[in-house]
Amino acid sequence: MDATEALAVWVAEGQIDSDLAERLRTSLAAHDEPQRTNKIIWVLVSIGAVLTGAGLLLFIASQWDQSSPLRRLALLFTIYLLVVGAAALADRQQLGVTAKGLWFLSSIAVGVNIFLVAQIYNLPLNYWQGTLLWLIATMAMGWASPSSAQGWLAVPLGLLTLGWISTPTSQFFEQGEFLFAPGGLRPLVPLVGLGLVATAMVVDATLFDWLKQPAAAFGAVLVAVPIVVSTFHPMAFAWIFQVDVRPFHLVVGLGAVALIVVAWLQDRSSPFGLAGAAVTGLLMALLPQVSDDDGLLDGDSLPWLAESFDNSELLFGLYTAVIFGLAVATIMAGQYYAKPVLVNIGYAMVSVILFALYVGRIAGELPTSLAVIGGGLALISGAIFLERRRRGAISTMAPGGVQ
Amino acid sequence: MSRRHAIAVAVAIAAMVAALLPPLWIQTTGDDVVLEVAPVDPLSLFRGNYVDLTYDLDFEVDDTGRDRSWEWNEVVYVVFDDARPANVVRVEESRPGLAPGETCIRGRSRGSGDVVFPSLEQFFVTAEQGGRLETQLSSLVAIVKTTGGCQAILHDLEPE
Repeated sequence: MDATEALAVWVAEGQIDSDLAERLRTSLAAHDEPQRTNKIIWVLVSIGAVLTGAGLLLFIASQWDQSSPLRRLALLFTIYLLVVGAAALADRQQLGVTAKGLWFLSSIAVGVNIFLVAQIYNLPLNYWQGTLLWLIATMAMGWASPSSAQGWLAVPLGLLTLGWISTPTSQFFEQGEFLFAPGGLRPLVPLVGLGLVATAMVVDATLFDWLKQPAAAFGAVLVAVPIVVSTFHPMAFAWIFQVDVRPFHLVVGLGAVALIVVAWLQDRSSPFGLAGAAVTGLLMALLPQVSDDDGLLDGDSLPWLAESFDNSELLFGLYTAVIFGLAVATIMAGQYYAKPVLVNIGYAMVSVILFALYVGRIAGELPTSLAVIGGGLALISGAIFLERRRRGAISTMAPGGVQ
Repeated sequence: MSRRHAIAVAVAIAAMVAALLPPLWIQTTGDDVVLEVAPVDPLSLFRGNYVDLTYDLDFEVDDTGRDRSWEWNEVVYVVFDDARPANVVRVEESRPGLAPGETCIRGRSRGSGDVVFPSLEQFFVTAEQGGRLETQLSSLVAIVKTTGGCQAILHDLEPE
């Protein structure tokens, strides 16, 4: 319920009279309008920055074929310096939002330049050193010109860097292989997600606060998606947590755990630190590998629980119940601590798990027509029910939550 | 410009220079090795036309004096002679010492004695060059620049 709706309710209940309500509405509008305008300008400037970046790319492309390597390099650095000059000028003219957009454009230009330099020297498509250098430059620019746009750029760059380090193949269709190969990042994705959530907690109210929102959002998705998918079928579980263990996995896993510990040490009283530690423990417990003697998967190993899950519906049901409980706990924590994002993620997890349960366990036992009709009705009624519950949960949150 | 912005711009320029220097160094100081290739010609959405390459490395693991194949993705060093196209002399797990006329390239094992060179698999071309190369796909060699440390970049493609 927003403030305007609240005023209408209070007038209807007789808590305040209509004159006071009107004065309060006018006051709210006066405060709200500049902020809304500012947001619109920021969105427009961000879109403009991306469009200008794309235009620069097209301009460079049109000049590229006819240019010598030296001319190409001169072109790239000149364009970067022009963008920086424009941003500095906008700063000087105190055009705050425009300046931020131009500084963000300079971060995009760095990436364009790095990958066009890579093209000059035929460096491979999954050139992880390029994304790493781009990330470093973006972090520096985010520190100098804080905006969440820099964070939304930096976080995927970090993930791509980790992924491309893990699977150094370079064919075009293998650029996403790190999400699928057991020697890649796949089995560690939930742990990396938790590391990102921990990062969001660590950077809170620091010079890197601009990373908080993107790190939390990416982290939550990276944790939720694989663990929910792992409840679909014992083979899905085995596939997601199968690790072809290499030093890379140890380094990334330890890095993620270190971030989680730092987040917990920073605020030992925070229940999120404890929750993070508990989920970390759960994820680590799933990772130990045993020899795949029965050949359940491609590769030599599989998670130690995979065979038991494959042989016992009860055990796999228990695992599904634990993940379902985690989703419900996420909703409750979100409601209690007034974090709508947790409520949304929890409800999304619950919905997907319930739907998967219907498709995997119930629909197969019914005649086809009944299964399809039942599935459709269950989906519609479930969606309405869950959406009502979600809205209800968010609307009853105390501002700021329980601290 | 504020001091913070100046530092951030300096870091960005350093990052761009750091992307430029290693390949420039290899190109300037490296030795040539000519490799037989098997190219195909896809298109990259972000970086335009390129020719995708795999290399015809004619060697058997046992020929190199080893009694086992390497793990998938293990780093290996392939030593070549100076023939055109070059022949594989040996494959080692650590950076090799090179005799005169020998060059080496760092690669990755794909198990069963197969080795790939992920850093040498794309050659970026204009649409016009791509069309020309397409007619010569079966008779091309790759000119690779490589250093004593086995770092390599793909320099050119030319008819055998």
